[in-house]
Amino acid sequence: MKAEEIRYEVIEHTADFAFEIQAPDFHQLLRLAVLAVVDAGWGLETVEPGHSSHKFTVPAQDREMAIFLALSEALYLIDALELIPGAVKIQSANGDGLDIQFDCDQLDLERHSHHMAFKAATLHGLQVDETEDGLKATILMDI
Amino acid sequence: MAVWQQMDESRVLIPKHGKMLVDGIVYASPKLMAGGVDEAAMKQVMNVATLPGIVGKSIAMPDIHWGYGFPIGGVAAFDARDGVVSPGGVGFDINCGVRLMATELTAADIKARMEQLADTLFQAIPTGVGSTQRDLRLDRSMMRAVCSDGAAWAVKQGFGSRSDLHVLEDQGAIKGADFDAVSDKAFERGRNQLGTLGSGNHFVEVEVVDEIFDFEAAEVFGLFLGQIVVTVHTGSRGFGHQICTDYLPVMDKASRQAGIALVDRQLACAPLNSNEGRQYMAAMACAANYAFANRQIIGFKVQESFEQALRKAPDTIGMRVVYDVAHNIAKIENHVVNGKKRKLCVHRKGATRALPPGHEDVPVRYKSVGQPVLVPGDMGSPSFVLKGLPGAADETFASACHGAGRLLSRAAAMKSAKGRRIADELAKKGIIVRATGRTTLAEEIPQAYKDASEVVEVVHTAGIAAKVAKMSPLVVVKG
Repeated sequence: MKAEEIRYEVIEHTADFAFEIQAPDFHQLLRLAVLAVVDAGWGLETVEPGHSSHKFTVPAQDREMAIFLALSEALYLIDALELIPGAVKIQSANGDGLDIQFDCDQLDLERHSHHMAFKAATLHGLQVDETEDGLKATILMDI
Repeated sequence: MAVWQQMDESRVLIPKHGKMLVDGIVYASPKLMAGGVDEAAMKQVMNVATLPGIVGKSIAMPDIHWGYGFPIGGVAAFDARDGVVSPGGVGFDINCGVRLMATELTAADIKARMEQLADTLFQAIPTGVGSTQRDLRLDRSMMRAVCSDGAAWAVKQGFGSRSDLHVLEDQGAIKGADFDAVSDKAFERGRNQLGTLGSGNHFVEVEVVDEIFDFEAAEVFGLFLGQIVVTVHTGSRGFGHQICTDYLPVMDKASRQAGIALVDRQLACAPLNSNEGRQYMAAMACAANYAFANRQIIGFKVQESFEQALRKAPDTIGMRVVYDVAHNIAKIENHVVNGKKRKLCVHRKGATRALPPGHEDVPVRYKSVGQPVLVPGDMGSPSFVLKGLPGAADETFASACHGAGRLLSRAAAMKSAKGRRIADELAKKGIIVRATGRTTLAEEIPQAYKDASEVVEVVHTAGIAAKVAKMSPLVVVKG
């Protein structure tokens, strides 16, 4: 299956990696933000998300914190468990939360070529803005 | 219109305005400022000045560049009783730092076997993103011991000797570590990354001392012209990254509870005397000690690599640690402010401690000249050893610059490197490079950084730290 093409705009930053991403709603925005980081880090086209799934919940009311936590979870999986998220499913949870499922590939250096070494997601300048077409997030990743 | 003004040849003042509680000061020469002011970084100096309990000035070193929360090169001190601690003032790579090791060898002694030395170092020290030590996977009790004992734990396992500990910042273990303040995720990330270099700007570099500025201090540090030395630059790897990540939401909430209005959410902080503040300090100390252990293990592997590649006995090589210092840390320290002794939490994010002669925390053998201040350059240009001066204690909470400081973004560096053979360019300058990442060399081209000589000149002129020796790279191992 051909990988989804993720569109994001890289913003010039002296030391780290900043980007903007747009989507019609927040679930899409969150999903695309994770996939953009995977794409920039490993190349999404090389990731086959059938190995295992990983579920967790983030707060729904604080959009910026939800993005920060989801990106941090992705980096944890990659760095500690060598699992690369290749697909992201999101649904509203009971109460104030979003249930997120990452479908992951096992890191395999024969197939996965590393482009960018992200250490962490940051809260610096992280913001979700409303646009005419939906929502836009500005995100800075520490390298 | 710029709100800052050049005060003299090495200081730029940002007068207190808006929500700033104190002035900002950036150590920079007119030449560095003319080379392009990173306005986002200057704004971050101002942002830090808004945090409660800040003492003195919001400070930045000449290697300042845009970070997250604090600028890289930022120094800020907060009153230990009513001030705050901010993970954004330490950074994700807690106790990222530098170790300098000296040898009894000269450039002539290694000239014929430099390629073998590069290969041996590259094989012995795991590099690159997610690099792991397959033969050093720690269980919980071992991690607890690493977090508590730092470099001494590594020595106990046979990585180096006890005498190494005498010349490490805080003997390679800062106090107050509590492994119970560390998450399971951090444990998982850290358990098999000890003894690994990582990626990005981390490196092991074999250098030759090619200029001495202060012969008396150089002799005390054990440095001489033509000498082979080794610099290790790395930190707490995924363990530290995860601890910072874990505590940002905690501090974000604590900031709100304490009624602290943040101008940047990455400045999330908690009062030092709050439960959240204490917990972060305890977890941060764990990562700091992990980093000291990490550099101790890598230092030992460097020594083994020299023996193997050069086919020389340890006594002939004579490798010993000159100093090991953190440049991403927050520490409780005593400083004199306006004539009064105060207990402060000093945040150094991309800034190195620089204690003056006679200070109680300077190793005995260096007491007469001051603490060695280690300032690595980029992979194609010189690194420096400086010594701490009383000016640093007076002006910068005993802090100095930590490196050259990035000038170009990674994207701009990649663009500049396009079509070039960076390894070949360096080889023409006599520098052998080994790197894991396919983009590392392009991102880390010498042009991506400020001129380290100019950066060092600023702190030298300002009387914060004085130049002792300059080293040029011969072999560079990068992630």
